[in-house]
Amino acid sequence: MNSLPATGFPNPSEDAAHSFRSLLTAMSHPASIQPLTTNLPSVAKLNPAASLIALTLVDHESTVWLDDDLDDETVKQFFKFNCSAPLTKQPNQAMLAFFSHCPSPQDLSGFNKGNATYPDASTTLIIQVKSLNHGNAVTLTGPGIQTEQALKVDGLNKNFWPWFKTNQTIFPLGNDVILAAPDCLTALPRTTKIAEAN
Amino acid sequence: MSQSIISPAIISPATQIDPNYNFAYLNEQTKKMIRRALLKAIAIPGYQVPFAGREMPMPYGWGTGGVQITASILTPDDVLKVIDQGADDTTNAVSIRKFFQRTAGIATTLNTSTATVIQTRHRIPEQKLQQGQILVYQVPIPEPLRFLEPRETETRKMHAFEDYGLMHVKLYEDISQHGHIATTYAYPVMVEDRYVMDPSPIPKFDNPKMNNNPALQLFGAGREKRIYAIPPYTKVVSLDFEDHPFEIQAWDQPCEICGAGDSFLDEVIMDDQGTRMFVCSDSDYCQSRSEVQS
Ligand SMILES: [Zn+2]
Repeated sequence: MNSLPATGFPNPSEDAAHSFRSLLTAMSHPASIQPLTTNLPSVAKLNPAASLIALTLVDHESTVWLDDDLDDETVKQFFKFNCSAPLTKQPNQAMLAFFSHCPSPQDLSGFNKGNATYPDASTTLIIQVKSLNHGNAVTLTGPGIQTEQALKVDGLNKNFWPWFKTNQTIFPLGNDVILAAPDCLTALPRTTKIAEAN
Repeated sequence: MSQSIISPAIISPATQIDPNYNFAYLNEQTKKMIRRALLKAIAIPGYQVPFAGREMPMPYGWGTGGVQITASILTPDDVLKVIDQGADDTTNAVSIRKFFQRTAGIATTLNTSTATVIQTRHRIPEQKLQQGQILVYQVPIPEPLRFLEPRETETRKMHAFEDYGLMHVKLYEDISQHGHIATTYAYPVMVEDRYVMDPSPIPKFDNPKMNNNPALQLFGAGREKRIYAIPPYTKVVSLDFEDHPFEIQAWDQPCEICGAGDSFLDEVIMDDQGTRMFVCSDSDYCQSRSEVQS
């Protein structure tokens, strides 16, 4: 399936530096579209952006949860071999959760939302979407956004934004979301507010 | 990103990395751990994220927290500026700049608007920062409530329950003792109406620059192993009282070198006779203004 070196990145240190910088920019400018800084192949149903995020953030100290479509041998091998990641089936144990497609609010209810003294203990949700160039538009505000930021997404189900609105109400607890399209990514930290959804 | 015209002369170009080092010194696994903490810090503005800090080849007082953040965010394309008390030429600033030249091979500059990453101790540059720039603060004591409550478990609870009454009492004691709030450095701020945060020992003169800044602000405490952040365009308010509003330091005179009336001034001794002068603490700002005038 893939012929990447053991670290996953052709140039591990520099590739990880570039991809982290795009994640840092995405998280500090929510809903801004960040290109993928290294060309990576899909790994079964894990798309290139999700692979990039995994290689950049996951190691033996970060427990990973995979949804049913990603929970196959090829993807599990990728996480074990390239990231040394411990895998879990317990949502509340996950530091990072990877979704091949948009989960329902019920699917998300079991993930760790952090606690009052350690809100950073929450699970980061990496959700694969079809596109961040077209699709239904939403207008967002909050820290990192100067006035407002429009975001078009193809691949979120209709219950996602109502869930995200609820997620925002429990701040400083809550889940941060990274949307992973085949060719780009964006982030929706828990501080981001929905101005209007269509 | 930067609107200024970049003259190549103000950049020291990228150099060869010492082959004995991984890019930017830290190993990839340490960087991953710090990078995860940084993303959490940005998502919870003003909240202190614990991280498993590493020993750095310099003493704690030298900004190891800031150095670890800088090492984890740098790419080979960055242009780094390092300042200590506003100056690029102090021992601390020079040694950190050299450290990253050697271990990351990156370009460096003294010019605020040319830099993509600025590591700082005790100042925010006078020149307005731009979107895309990152300011990394070296932090000695990250916990603004520490002097009121020595126990970490207790200060964590105070932040959890927004129990900031004691902090207001402390500031008000200043007023009853001195007639005004006497705190002039590390003056506490409220971030996004939620977390009280220590801005590091910058003069309170710099506090207003933190509010709604287009740049990303990252804070690293090496000894206490904490990372916190202020995303761009985020509300940062200095704590105060209706009858004693927050005020910044002011001087009776402008800078005696460049004439700036809007910068933070240091009193410096100029010669053996003990002649004193008030000059900009931000040496790049002062110099660039002097060059324009001459
Ligand atoms: Zn001056």
